[in-house]
Amino acid sequence: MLDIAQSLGAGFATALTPLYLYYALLGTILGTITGVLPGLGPLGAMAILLGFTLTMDPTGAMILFAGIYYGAMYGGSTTSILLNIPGEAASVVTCIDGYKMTQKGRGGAALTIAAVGSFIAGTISILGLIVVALFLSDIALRFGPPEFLAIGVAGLILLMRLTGGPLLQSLIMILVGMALATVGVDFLTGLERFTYGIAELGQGLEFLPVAMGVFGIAEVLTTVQDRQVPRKVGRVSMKELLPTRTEWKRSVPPMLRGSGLGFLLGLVPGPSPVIATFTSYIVEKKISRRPEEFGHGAIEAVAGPEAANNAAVGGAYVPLFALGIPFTPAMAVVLGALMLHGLTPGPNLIRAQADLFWAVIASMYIGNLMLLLLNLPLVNVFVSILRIPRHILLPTIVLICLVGVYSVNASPLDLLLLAIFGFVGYVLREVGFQPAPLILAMVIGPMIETSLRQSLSITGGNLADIVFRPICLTMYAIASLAFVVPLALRWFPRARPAAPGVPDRAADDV
Amino acid sequence: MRRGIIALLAAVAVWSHGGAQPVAAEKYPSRPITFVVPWGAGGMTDVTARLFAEKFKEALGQPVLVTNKPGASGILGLKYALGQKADGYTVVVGPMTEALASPYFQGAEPYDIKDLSFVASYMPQERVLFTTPDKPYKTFQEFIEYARKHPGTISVGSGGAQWALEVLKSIAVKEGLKMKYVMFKSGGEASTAILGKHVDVCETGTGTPAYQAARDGKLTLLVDLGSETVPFFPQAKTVKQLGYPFSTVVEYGLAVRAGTPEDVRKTLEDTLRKVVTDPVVKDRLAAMGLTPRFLDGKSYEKLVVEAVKSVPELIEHNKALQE
Repeated sequence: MLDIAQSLGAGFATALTPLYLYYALLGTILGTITGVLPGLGPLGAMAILLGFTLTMDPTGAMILFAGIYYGAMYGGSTTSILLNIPGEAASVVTCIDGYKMTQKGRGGAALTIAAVGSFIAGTISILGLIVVALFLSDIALRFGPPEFLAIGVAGLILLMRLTGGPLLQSLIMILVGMALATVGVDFLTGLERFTYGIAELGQGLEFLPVAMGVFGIAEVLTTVQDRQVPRKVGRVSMKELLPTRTEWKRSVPPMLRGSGLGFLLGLVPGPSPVIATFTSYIVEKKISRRPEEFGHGAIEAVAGPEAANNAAVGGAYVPLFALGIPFTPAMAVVLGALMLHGLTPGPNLIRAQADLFWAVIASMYIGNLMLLLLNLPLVNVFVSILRIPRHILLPTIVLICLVGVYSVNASPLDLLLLAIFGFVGYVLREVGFQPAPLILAMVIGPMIETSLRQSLSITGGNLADIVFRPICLTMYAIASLAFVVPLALRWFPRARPAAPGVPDRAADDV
Repeated sequence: MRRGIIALLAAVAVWSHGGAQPVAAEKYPSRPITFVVPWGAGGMTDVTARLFAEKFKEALGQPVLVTNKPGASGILGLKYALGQKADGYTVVVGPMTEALASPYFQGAEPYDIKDLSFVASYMPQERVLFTTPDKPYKTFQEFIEYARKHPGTISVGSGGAQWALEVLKSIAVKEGLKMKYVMFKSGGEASTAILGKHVDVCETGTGTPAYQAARDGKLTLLVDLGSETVPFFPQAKTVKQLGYPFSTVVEYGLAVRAGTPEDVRKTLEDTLRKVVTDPVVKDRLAAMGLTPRFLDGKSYEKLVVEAVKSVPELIEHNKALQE
């Protein structure tokens, strides 16, 4: 224990030297920019800077990248909350209640809560990173294809309960999302599916054009239609920027729960940060005393998921440092940077490069602090976006969507998809369907398909071998409980005291 | 501070890429060059391409941008690059062997090799079969024996290389083995699977986490599916040395669209030769477990043509497995 304190102290001593502080600041600023602008995400930003890190020492490079990664997570919620545009899969859930808060004039409060939640989550996940990387490094290896399948399936079951609308509606959206995710070249066999001879579709439908279409563009279309109801976005006073006492009180427990959940799920490869966000949302809704507010601007629904996706970042670093294995594309770029500096990533990295490890840990903490100090004043700047008159703001949103989508692949097809899904999203809203499950299913669908097929290959088609494993059984049990208990409670309404005024279909009238 | 500004500018440059570009009539290169990487960011191709991009910039005095066009084992990126102007400002980087072999595995229309003009190659990579040390088999012969005695029980993983997996299947055909085959998306995912013992044996390229673990003695190297030598494992035998007819070839290099002026291609070739023989680059690659080696455009083309020739034969041979 003393060793750890000593090493961490030495890490802070290294990280606090002017050069490393500068790298941390540079990283957090660049990260915030890439996070706020939808499109080019932390993956792209790090990849572009990979060449530049050649002139730095490896510790400096790692500090810069950690700053970008954390910064992007901080900034990622901004457009979700203010404009209903999710820049990445992990912010889709934030759109649901975050944007509702903006419509009620509480956008500034939501941004502040998101920043503070991110800070708390960052702190907790750094502690988790130290503990798990040092003592439980092999934990990630216990997850094979059957375990990934269990996580995916459990995620889907939870997803059905996300919006609180009729189950059938959610199920339709989920199935459509999973079907959309099958488009493209199947990597197991190399065969094309649903590409209709269009070469660009071989890559599959990108997340970004679909998400920005059904959220961003659809939002613009709906707003244009609602001519009679001018939204009052003109005045934003200082009071509206800060959360009230009640809002603070309601936010802290979700932040803590979201942090724990996010970190644990972040240890697992694949879209687990995304699963962490909606699991947090559902948990908060289930234990809340005001579940009827969810979907209409509940502060808990911003605090929990935002903490969860930030904590997952710390989780993602564990397999990289402890095993030398990148679980996300962004971590693959970090691994690439280590390799370019001649460091052999692998189980011995923490021991062989102890100075680097501890300096990066320390700088992550410093970076988080910088981000908090950077983001709080920025809330004011961002909220002033809402003062822009509607006839300028709406075209600007469309422009942001176009540039964001195009910047990733420079593909005209993506722009077409943006338009198509913008219209689809508009129609869905008009008929009262919630788009969030569709988008989220698109992200977990491939995980389920891939791991199911791999599991069947490994076990030779034996279903029992896939299900009867400790981790899998636990996952399935939790998911079934979460699904069955509310149904059972509805069937036996006398079993609990009547809750007047809590219609289960509260979200239907959106 | 200056580095920061350059970084920002680079980001902006990529952000707005595709903007107006002057017509080039003057000496090559007079504007930024784009390296197209047909694989994802952070992979072996991407990391080497970005390392070279930096060195090419130093040598040619023009920025080199790297764009990833991943998907379909390199086909999408190659298609994209072949759709650009044949002026030497769009260069494909990566294992051309893989990109040209994959259409055969996917039953797609194979590439006409004449559409490409090979610049030069910079390194071979070996695909290697690993297992965990707790298994009763320690050598490839013991593994074959074990697999023969336990039909249908052994799971074989692949780190996303169809060619290498087919080579393993060709061995199963020859030895009459029944095994289960599992494909993973990348060397990283395959490494997790073998280190966590979710598969019994697994193939990945050199330089992956599984390979690094084998260097630490945490995995056992069974056989080299390629035809050269495995860095840090001088005793490793290739499948050909063990008497099997097929092997997989991975040779990383640069190519441009056919019709690119010869002096432009030559400039790129000469620059790559300078970069590959640079001691700093050599050291960096060697530390990753990679062995840089320069082959000029002609030799590279010959190597790729030779290697890809065996692919239809391999597929024909493995049809026996499906019956």
